[in-house]
Amino acid sequence: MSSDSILTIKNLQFSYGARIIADGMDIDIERGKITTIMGPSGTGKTTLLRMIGGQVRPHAGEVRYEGKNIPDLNKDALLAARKSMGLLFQASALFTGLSVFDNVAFPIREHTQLSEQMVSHLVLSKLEAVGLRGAAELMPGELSGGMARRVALARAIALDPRLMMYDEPFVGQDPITMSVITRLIKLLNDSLGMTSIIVSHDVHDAMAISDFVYLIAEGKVIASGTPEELRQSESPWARQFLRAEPDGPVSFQYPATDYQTDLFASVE
Amino acid sequence: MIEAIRLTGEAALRVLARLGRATLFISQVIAGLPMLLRRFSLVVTQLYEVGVLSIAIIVISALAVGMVLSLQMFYTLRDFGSEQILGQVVALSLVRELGPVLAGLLFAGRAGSALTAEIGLMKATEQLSSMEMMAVDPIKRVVAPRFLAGVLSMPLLAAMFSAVGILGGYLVGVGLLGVDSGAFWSLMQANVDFYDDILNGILKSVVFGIIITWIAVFEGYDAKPTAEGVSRATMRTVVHSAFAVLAFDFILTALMFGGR
Ligand SMILES: Nc1ncnc2c1ncn2[C@@H]1O[C@H](COP(=O)(O)OP(=O)(O)OP(=O)(O)O)[C@@H](O)[C@H]1O
Ligand SMILES: [Mg+2]
Repeated sequence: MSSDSILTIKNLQFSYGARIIADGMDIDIERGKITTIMGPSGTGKTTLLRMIGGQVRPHAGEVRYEGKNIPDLNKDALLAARKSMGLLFQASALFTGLSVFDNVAFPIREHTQLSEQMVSHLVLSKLEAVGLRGAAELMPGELSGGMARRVALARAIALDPRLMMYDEPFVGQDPITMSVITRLIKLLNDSLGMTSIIVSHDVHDAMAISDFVYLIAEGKVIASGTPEELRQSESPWARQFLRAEPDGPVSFQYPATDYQTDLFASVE
Repeated sequence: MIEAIRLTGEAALRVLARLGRATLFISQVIAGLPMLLRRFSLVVTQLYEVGVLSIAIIVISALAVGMVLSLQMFYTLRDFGSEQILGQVVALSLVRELGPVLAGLLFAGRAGSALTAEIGLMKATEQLSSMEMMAVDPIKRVVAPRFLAGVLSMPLLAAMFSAVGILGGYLVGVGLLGVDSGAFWSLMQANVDFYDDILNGILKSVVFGIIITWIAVFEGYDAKPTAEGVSRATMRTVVHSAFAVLAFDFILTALMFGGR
């Protein structure tokens, strides 16, 4: 474990009923770096981010953010911790009753006493960064899926969080905006001194800007290292995932009873 | 047999658990009310959505109810030669009973269902969740202003219902059926008591407002975060508020007017 980590997850345990999400997971996020967490769909990456944000309570283990164990915090301390976190949701989760401008202004208005002029200045600069300053007056219903995600990104970075978490930031973006977003994540990370966690299955784009990568499956970290280390890795898990092979230790199926048994059960 | 007992027990436990959640929830909402004094604009927006937008349906229904009421009463009263007390009868029925109850039922259908659907959809599309992650408590920011707006709107809408209903009764009774206008108003004034009738009617509408809005915001917040979950929650809001209004109306009426 590095001495300068912003987030340390130790022996994390969590399951939804029989569905195991984390089974002794250890993750260490270094301050100022971009860390990507990759894993097959449905392994619990989104749930992991929710545990970091304190919305889902782990059954056991530590989620230590800036020295404080998130599951132990009371309501006020948790709110305080969240003020320094940003989370870009997988579904954009924009407030449908507010315009694009007001969406991005929302966290600023809630948490600061800035004048409307300052708010407007901040909002427009964030929208400019995601290339949507011209869309400020639109309502969320008038945006495409990709635009909505960029607005959500502008809103998530509105208060310059210290830890920024991106849940599938590349989904639904065309190649150009994809590279814009990739560059933006890197720029925010480096110029504002943010720490970034990217959750993705997009191997190439995520690896290109990451300093460190965790591969998770079935509740455990199955491989980790710098992108280079992982590409060289001989671990069958890493190889299957990075080369997108259908067969290997990572199962594509949601856990189920034996297919044959199911087939015959329905015939009875 | 044992299975039936088990199922009944399970259902009872579910109901109790829900009641517990609803109570916990409302206490959190109430804890969020003082903060609204500083940000009253949040409540004003909701007063418009919940209250002002319900005025049309209230006024139209009240007019219709008042007119029919007047018509029905007139023919019955005329048989006893006492059609002059038409104003008093119409006013008493509206102020004591029909105003609060019908306004409550309409309010549940118009505003309650909209509240549930809105909050439920915000939950289903993770708007509430993302608000939480922005360190903003959705119960304080989203639910509390809507709850307060509902509680404030309902008595005003009920009063409006009674007033417009009386006007409808006047139009039919005096305008159409020829009841003496002076008798209509003066007998009404003389026989409708401020404390016994008007205040009790207002009290009913306050109670209904609290119950309906409580059900509506709780159902929305507790909805399963799916399209089906939200639609079921909306349906439950309308059905449960209707039953609650009728049940509490009986209880309140017995308490208020029973002791005389
Ligand atoms: N509220 C819930 N109740 C029960 N099970 C849930 C709940 N939320 C998620 N799950 C289950 O937990 C598992 C992990 O879900 P999660 O959304 O964290 O996956 P993910 O890794 O983010 O997947 P994807 O890459 O497709 O977004 C899934 O199998 C899902 O069925
Ligand atoms: Mg996910």
